[in-house]
Amino acid sequence: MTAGDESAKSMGVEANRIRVLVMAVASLLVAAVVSFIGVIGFIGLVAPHIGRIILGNDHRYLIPAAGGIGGALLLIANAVSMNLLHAVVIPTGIIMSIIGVPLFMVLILKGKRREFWS
Amino acid sequence: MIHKLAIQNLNFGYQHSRVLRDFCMDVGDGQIVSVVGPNGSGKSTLIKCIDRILMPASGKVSVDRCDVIRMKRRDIASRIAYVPQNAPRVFPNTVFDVVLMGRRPHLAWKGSAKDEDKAWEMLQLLGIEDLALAPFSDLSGGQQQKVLIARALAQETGVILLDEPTSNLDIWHQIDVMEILRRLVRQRRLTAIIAIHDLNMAARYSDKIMMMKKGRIVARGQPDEVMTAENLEAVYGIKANVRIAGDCPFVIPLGRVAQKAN
Repeated sequence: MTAGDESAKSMGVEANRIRVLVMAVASLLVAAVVSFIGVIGFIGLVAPHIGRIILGNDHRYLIPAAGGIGGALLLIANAVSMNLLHAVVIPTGIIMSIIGVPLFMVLILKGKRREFWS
Repeated sequence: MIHKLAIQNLNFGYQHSRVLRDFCMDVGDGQIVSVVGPNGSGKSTLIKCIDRILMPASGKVSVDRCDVIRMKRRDIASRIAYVPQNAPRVFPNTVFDVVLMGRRPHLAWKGSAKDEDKAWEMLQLLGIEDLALAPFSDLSGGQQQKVLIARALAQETGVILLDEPTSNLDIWHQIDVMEILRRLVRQRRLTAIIAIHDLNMAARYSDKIMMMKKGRIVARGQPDEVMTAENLEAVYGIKANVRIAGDCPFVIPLGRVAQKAN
């Protein structure tokens, strides 16, 4: 995706086949996760970007790290949602959005200067 | 002579038009072969068919006597490198990363120090090692072109295909890129096939020229055999004065023929 199909093919990557494969696997994984825990927005947007700031562009490290960072973020959001108010549990998705939206805004604004893409 | 690259009866068409018709060509090693012809004559398509970026409808392409059509993509990539005209970029990568991508056919999951050494070597060869950590998308057209050539060289293939390597460059960078190519082809016994519009560049730097029109070769041979006023009129529909300076011909276009030869 970063280099374009033609370049990818010329370097020995079956671009079309891999794209279909990755999309199929990704949609199955997302479907499985969402059907267990419901919809929680913004993690998927924020976590990989944070990973990219920390680790740079090497996807061998970035993809697992994005998973880890996403998990950590969700744990934080969940802890906040259960402890913020007495007796009432605020849905985790709401807390995640409260954290995620400002973070995402910062990322977009900084993104214009591209400092976080090493 | 052993042919590095052999193409037999290659046919290719997009949806509504046939682009290559029974195309044949043999190339030995240690040569620069330029493919010239008007827009739409099939130069770029030919290059993409050789690397199987486009799948030919019929015909045979072989490199080192192996059939490209039936090879695995990775095996093709370790024999043929391709330099695109320009590379679209979404996420900015550093120049070094771009060149390192060329090592992909030779590595499995992890790159080794050897791959990084190769990438450095190629950057040095092209004189752009000082750009190694700059983002690729911030470079000028000439620098990007050199980076893409470095990437193709890092692939360490016997054949390198270039799609209009000089089209976006000023005259100094055009000469620079062509000189580098010629040096590399001589030193490493590469075979370079170049689709190019600039007839004078092609004449000056090629060992052989193929002049194409409508998917067929009209003329082939040494630059001075191909670059003749008659050929230029027949293929491009232009009147031109061809002079020999030193030992290479150069073309002075005078005007077009009243009716463009269809």
